[in-house]
Amino acid sequence: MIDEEVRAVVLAIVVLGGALAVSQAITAGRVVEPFSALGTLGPNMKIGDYPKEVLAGEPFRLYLYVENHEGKAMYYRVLEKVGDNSTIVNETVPADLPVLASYEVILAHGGNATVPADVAIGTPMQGAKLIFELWAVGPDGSPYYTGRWNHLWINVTSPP
Amino acid sequence: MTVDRLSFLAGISIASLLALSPLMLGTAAVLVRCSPSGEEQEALRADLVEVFLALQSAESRGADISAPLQSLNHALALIQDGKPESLDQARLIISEVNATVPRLLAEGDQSRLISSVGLYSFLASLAAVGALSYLYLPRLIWRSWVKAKRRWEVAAS
Repeated sequence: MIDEEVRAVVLAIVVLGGALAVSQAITAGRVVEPFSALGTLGPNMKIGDYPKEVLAGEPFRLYLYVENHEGKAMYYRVLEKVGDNSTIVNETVPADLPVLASYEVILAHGGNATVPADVAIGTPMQGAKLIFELWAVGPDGSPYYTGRWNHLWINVTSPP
Repeated sequence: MTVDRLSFLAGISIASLLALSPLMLGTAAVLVRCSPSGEEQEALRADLVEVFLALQSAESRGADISAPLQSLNHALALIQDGKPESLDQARLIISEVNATVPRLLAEGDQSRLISSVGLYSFLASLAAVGALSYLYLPRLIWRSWVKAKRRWEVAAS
């Protein structure tokens, strides 16, 4: 009688342990939630200290931080665009604006890179929306928008 | 008479245009080729994307592509630099990485085979341990229980 109970307990432990081990063995190394990250850093390579006012045509230094957690190597392109407060950009729609510059980097899974970006906005404008969009090269070789973007509001004044 | 002269002049100008046209076409071709190396950069980028996709495929099969990825990043920087010597160097790097792709694909296949064998062996050993535990663990537990309680005395109440 007692032997049967012990056997049942052992069976339960074996089944539970087996199920856990099998699931771990099968899902080992898989990325559950793949994602890519884009960050814009100021001239001192920190979040913040962003320029609020710049001279038209005068280049200023920013840094773009890109991180890959997609579970595979990725070829990223960060596109630089300038719009205003009427420019629409969100997770699904990239800004419908000309590309001023592009920064490219290839990252292995888990890798990150900080890329210097020398930005120059040619025309004076109040409330310029400086946009950085993260694009990636898809399996067919064509670029697609990852849905990640950053933007900064900058006043661009004409040089004295 | 005037008409004849006009037609004569027109004939000469057409003939000279025809004679010069290969030269003009040549100049146009040279201009296209000399236009900012953007076209060459784009061609190299396209090659690089192709090699990158092949590396991605090798990686999905289990190959370690960290070293060729670094080389491709270097090539990318050279392409962005845009100088003719940089572009030549980038082309060389891309072709070198491309040459390693078949070996990486084979490595990936081998790595996938090894990991599959490992996984199935692990599952088989797990099943064997489970069956052995089910069959022999109760006996082992009782045996160790009896050994632990060796000094116990049983008294009839």
